[in-house]
Amino acid sequence: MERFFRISLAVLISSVAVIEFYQVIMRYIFEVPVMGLDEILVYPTLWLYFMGSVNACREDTQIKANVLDIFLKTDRAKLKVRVVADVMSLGVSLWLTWWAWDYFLYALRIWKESPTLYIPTFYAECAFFIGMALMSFFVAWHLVKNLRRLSLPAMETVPGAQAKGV
Amino acid sequence: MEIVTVSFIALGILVLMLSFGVPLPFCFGGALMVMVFAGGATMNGTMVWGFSQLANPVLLCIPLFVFAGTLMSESGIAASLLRFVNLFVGRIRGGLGVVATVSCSLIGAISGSGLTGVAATGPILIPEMESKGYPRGYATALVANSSILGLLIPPSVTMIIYGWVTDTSILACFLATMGPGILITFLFSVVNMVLARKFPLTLDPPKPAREAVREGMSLTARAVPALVMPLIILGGIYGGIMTPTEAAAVAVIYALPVGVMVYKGLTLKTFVTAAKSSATAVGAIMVMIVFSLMLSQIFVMEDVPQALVEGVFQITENRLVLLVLINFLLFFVGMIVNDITSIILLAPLLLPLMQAIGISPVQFAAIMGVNTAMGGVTPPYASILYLSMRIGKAEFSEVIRPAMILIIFGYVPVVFLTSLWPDLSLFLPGLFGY
Repeated sequence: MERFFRISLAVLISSVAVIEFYQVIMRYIFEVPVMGLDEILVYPTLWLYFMGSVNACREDTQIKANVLDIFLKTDRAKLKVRVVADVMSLGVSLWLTWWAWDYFLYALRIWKESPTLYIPTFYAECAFFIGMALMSFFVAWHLVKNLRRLSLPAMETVPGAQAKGV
Repeated sequence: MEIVTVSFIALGILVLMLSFGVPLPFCFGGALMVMVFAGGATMNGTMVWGFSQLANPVLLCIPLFVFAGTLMSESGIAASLLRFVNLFVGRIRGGLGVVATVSCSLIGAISGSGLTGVAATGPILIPEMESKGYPRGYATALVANSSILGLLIPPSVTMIIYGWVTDTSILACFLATMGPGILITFLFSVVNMVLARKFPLTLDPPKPAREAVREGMSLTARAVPALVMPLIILGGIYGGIMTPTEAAAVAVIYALPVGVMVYKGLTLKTFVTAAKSSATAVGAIMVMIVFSLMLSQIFVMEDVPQALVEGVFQITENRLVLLVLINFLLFFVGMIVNDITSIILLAPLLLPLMQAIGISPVQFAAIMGVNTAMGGVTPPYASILYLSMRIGKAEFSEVIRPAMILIIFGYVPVVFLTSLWPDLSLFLPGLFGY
């Protein structure tokens, strides 16, 4: 799994940079307009956003505030809060996935094509539903893991308590 | 139930979920649920609108600037910049602290994020400062506070988002935070020089003139490829040659040969690691952005910002009081959420109020920028301070006092100056015709 995300994310972000750089070279050095490149760029960009977020869910490195943790003394209390947070995350995530599914069906029904190259935009739009579904899966996975830890009589560690940001 | 009441309940749910440590995208999702179930908002059109916003080319510069910053950190470009700045002030008492502050400003001109500054300079600077006699807690606090300058010296991810959500020129927003950023750099340097008098510092012995010149020339020559990077980004953007997104792409591609062949810090393995960590950070930001945008859009459709303006004006119409209150609000929100969240959540809500009291969107960009930057080093949500502590192996108790001294004497005066002296943020944009 780690290998899949390392390679796919590296390929996606590199391709975005390379396509944009190619456009700069063609436009400003060779002074040749490249038609439709912006349309191509949408595909790796949207997949990059959603797969990046899926990986953040998988690694449990989504941006969090964890304000309550400051007031909690024991690891077990922190784990209970983590379980509550996971339950809330899963509820919201499933609700958003349901709406993303609705959007997926809408995109499939409309079958829009890009204006210059006539590429079906569905292949970029479906990233929303696939991304949300995978995020829900990883949120559920963390919930199960934390519930199992909570059921143990002596808890060893507190998972994912570190706040992260950019 | 009135829609404004529902909106405040939605914001309450958002804060509650945040407190529990729910990931930010889902916190915004939770608030959206309240607006849909209790406020009667519809998700159909909002979903289509939100997704279409994600494909906006303006936003593309965020992943590219994040990637350029991470590559810079991995490649050794940052270390070269540090040695270059050290050349000028390294032998002065307290000079190494000035090196930390100025280097972070320079790195800010490449990366656009505060965490990159800490990651790039912290592992080099904190141990170096400690070995020269600076207390570890102070060195860690100084690097953390200085790294925030990455959010104020353009390009800045937060300003890209502010410009985008408020429909303000991104280039004008970049320039608006530059004045406050330079002033903070100056104030940090002064505070450092004052505090350094008390530290038992060991200074490098002076070198013979010829050796010093030779060393200076060698370090300058080695720093030239690194110094070209901010030149490409800022020169490209403000020279009218490239858009910010194009400049960011050029910076990414430029960092590759420079990192591999000149500074030799970049290998295939470090490149893939940098790409993956950048993509993960970008994904976490962008998905949060899409849901927060949907929430903002519902608020705007329901006239919540207008109701907020009317509600606040019923309390007071005094401009000064309002400015102080808004600064406190921004500071408080910055303490509990990260910079990007603060901006997405509050910029569309507060901008009509600011305009009503005569603050331009460009000046408000600077006010938000400085406040949210300060929030990054103010607990409980002080991601940059925490990362510095991890890098510097310092305890919270030894970091918090120097961090607070730097905030009180470095940030707080600039926060109020930015609000009360419009020229600090509007002079540079005015020069460029904004």
